Amino acid sequence: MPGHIEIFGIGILSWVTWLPALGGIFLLFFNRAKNDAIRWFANVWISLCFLVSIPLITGLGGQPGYDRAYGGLQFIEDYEWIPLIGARYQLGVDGLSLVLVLLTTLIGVISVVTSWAYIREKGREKEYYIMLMLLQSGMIGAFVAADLFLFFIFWEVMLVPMYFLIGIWGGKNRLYSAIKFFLYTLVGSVVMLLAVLKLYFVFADVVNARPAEVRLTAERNAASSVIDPAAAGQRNERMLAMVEDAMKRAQGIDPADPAGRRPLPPGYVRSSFNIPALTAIGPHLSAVIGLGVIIWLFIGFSLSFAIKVPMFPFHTWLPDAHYDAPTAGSVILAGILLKMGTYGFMRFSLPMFPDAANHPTVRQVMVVLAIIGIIYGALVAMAQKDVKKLVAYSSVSHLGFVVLGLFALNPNGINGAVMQMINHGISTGALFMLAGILYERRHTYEIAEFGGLASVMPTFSTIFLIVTLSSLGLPLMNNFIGEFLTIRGAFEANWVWGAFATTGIVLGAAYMLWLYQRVFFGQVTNPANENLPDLNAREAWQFAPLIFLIFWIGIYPKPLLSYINPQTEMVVAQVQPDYFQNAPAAQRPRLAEERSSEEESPSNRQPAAAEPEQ
Amino acid sequence: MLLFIQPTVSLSDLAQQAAQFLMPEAILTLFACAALILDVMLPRAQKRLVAWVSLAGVGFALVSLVLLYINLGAGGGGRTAFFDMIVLDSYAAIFKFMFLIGAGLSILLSIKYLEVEGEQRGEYYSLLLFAVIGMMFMASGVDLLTLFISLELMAVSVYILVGYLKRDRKSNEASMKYFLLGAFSSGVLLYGISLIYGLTGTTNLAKIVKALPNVAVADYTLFGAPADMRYMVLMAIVMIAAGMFFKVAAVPFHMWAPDAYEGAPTSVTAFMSVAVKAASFAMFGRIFLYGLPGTMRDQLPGDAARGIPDLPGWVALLGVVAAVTIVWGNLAALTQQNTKRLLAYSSISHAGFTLLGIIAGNREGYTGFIVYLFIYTLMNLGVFGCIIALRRRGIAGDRMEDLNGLMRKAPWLTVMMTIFLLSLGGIPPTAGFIGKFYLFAGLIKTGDPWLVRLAILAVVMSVVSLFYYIRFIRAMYIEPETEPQPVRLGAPLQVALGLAALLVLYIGIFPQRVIDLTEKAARTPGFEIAAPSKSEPETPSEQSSTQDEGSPQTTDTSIR
Repeated sequence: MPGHIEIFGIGILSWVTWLPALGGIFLLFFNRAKNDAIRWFANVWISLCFLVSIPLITGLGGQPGYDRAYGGLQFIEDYEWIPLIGARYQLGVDGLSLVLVLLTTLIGVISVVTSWAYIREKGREKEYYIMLMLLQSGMIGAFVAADLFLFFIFWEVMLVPMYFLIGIWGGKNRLYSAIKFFLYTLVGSVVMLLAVLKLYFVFADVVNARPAEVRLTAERNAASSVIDPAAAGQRNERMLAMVEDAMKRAQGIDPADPAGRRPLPPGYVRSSFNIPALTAIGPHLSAVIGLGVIIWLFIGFSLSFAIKVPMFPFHTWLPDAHYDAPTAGSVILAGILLKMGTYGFMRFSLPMFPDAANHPTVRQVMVVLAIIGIIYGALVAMAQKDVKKLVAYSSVSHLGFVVLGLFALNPNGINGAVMQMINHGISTGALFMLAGILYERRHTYEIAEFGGLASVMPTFSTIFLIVTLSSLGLPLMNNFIGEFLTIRGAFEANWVWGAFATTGIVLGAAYMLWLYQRVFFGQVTNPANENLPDLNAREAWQFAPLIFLIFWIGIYPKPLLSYINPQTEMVVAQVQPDYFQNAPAAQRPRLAEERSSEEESPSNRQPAAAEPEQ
Repeated sequence: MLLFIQPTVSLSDLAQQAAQFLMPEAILTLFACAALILDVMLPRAQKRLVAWVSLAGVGFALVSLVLLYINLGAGGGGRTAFFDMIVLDSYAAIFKFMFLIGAGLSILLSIKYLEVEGEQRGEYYSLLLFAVIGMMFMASGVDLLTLFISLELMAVSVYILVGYLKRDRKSNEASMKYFLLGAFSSGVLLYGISLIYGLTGTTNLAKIVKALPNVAVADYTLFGAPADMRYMVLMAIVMIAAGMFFKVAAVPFHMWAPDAYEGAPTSVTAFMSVAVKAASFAMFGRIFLYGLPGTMRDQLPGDAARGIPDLPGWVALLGVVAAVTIVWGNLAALTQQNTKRLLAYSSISHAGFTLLGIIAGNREGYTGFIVYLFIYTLMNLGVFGCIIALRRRGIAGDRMEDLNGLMRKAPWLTVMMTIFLLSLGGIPPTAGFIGKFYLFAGLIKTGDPWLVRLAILAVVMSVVSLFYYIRFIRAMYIEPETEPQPVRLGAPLQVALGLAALLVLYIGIFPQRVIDLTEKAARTPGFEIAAPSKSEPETPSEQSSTQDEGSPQTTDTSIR
């Protein structure tokens, strides 16, 4: 059964989302001089936040955890919030956001732990930890929101703490970088706001124009698998109920009325921000608005995400922000914030505007920008004289892969893209932490300042080697899986794309290995490096979970893929409805079975739908 | 107008109406006079008492307003009184509510400020109350004369308040500028009103609405063409709009604002930037949405057949002015060093944003128009309150550097200031976001490509505005301290700021109640004349672009 956990009567997603912010509020009341107490509290609290997120997978005391057999959102929470706007407090996670939420809570712990020494040196610890906590809440909130209005609020809220993190505790050029980050991302999100509004006004029209088709799409999205016949019979009724609720509102029917006849009471608006419902109208938008408008809406959403990713012409804020951010800020930026952009593509741009996403020109433009990003990012990374900037530009290159995979619009490409999102979070996060350790030792990121560190800091250089190899995509390590799937998807869509993308991998190997060679090999030429201390226990152990994940995903990615795959299939089915009809031979026979099982299913399922959910 | 000399109305009727309609105003008048008298009687050291008395007056007025509002009933329908010169509907009520809240907070802010300036005197508070009385009549007047007189009552009081710091040259200069330009703009406004009166023979808005279509095009010819009196209407609209643009400080009638805001005592600036602006907008909305046509097409059936062209109404005019105001206000604010001047430009741009709601002309737009003003009142007062807190002995507190390192000196003040600034910039979860949300929703809902472009311009400019709000935040959090003198907030200031900050956050997170109230106000009967979804017979289609469903094309073709 779909996951559902409550702790003290409050849904687990609310706990996961608000617990960090609560910690931030507690921190407000600490005496700012008692730095040790503040630091310990922050470390313990953020670990607690991570622990609370674990039952999402394992379940808690008989309450079910996430069930991979179901598609769509689980752990749904749904409360009245602003009826006059139609916004509701709705939370829910599917496999994609579940994985990202767990990554966020983990990276949250690591980023707090890794700040231990850095922040002691920089000062203003109380505010620092408050900002980290608020940022954590904002990021998790954006991943778990099932209401577009709520999502938008979290999406914008994230900016403020990140601005402070860069602006107060950052490097030399921090003011410039912070404001650049802030304004760039804000431009994207305000344009998205307009697109959100248009979609919101169109929603009711689409539902009223094509009620039956919208419902069918919603049912398909709630079904467990588009292509796997064994799972097709299961349907996520709770999510379907949420969509039906939104549809009833759009039709002016009070969803609280079981007979479905009473009109919506005054004070309620006839529309909804519900994300699954807005996804369900995606393929039917053309019934009400023209392709031109759909493409504009797509651009409105995608501009915001493209800036966040960042895709090629919008990437200039990233190196600055990374360079000047404190280590924890960089880790979060690379690990989570950039994923917001690609997550947005997968959750909103693709499934909500399939007509635009599948439009040849739009797709061409996105893919070309992604490929430019891959190659350009790699070339610029190669030219960097500075560890942190190099890693920052490598992010541009890696995220180009993600976007390429997404716009390959086939299961391999999208699965690969999501894998790559996670892998990039792990590997690049680790690289930034390593760069941060170098900085703490020497207060410089300049590559030329180092050399021969392998003999001085053996543990450090070993970890660095593992992360470097992971980042350049060595088989048996995490990035290999992601890149392999992405490129396979790209080749499947268009061999030229795949060919170009492959050069990116070669270049990636070049700049990463060259970096490693310059920093670690050879003789120690700089006397300042002769007595650098190796990692202490805290510094070494904070890498343990990341290295574990690097190998685990690299060797046995199936569990992770099984979380992601239903969402991927949903997106593909939404964007390319006939993809699975023309699917590669291996998937075709299963498809025929599935169709037959779907034909008989409505009669089977109807009684189940009438049952109350809880 | 002739109703005045009708013998049938008895004095007792009038008294009864006054009790039913004007209780808050009457209470305020009483307290304003009491403040004047008290001021003479009290010794110098105890002048503070006058402030508390005025505050009590505002409080009582608030209570009686709430009682009146409850009696208004669920419909929020307007009841007119005093020969149809005053209306009490939820539109008027919510604006009055706004003024009283603004006035109450302003009084709380003024106590500390005047203390530091050494100008604690009673006439300040009574002038403030008289200004509020003028505003309240501006919100409920439905006769051009009532509106004009109440506008002057407000304006004259504020002219004096701006020049209240007698010994300060800047204050005097600001007052003079404001007065001269203000008087001139009043003249322009009055000229527009007189044109309308000449065309329609009445100053009552409801009657103007009915009469305007009939003045459209005369049957006789003038200089060989049909005499198109609609051009006169257009001219009147432009005149009235110009007068109102001056009051709300919209570009190109904004020149006075930066000087007046910078020179005036900060507490008066705060009051001016919110209450005066809100009152002017209340009158703006009343005249334009209630009385004047948004576009002038097909005034009479058959006009089109005679080859008489469509004329644009005020929608196009307002659209251009709003766009220019938003752009200029934001760009000019970017380079300012003086915080009061910066906020003056920011408030110019906010006037532009507020106009967007009137332009959109649908329920979301009107709601946005009112809710935005309400929220703006709170957040802008809050920001000015924080600047007042910085005014200490020897420190003016209105330079950007005065904010440096404030986080170390006064963390709570800084946090509150941050909330207000983010709200001004429209970042959720603050109230400013809700206001902007509604304004943009109104524009997007119309589906008109030009209005969508206007919305895009507006959102991009709201990002620009963040650039200068962030400068405050940067100074407070990141810059090192430049002077060590501690910042002390008095209790009244603390209460005012805390209240405003909590409200800004509360409305940002739970906006339902406020939106509910404003939606009712946006549904008052007058507004349905402007947006004839139920199609008034006398005004067939001239405002069709302001319809909810955005179907002007269909209406047009059906008439042709």
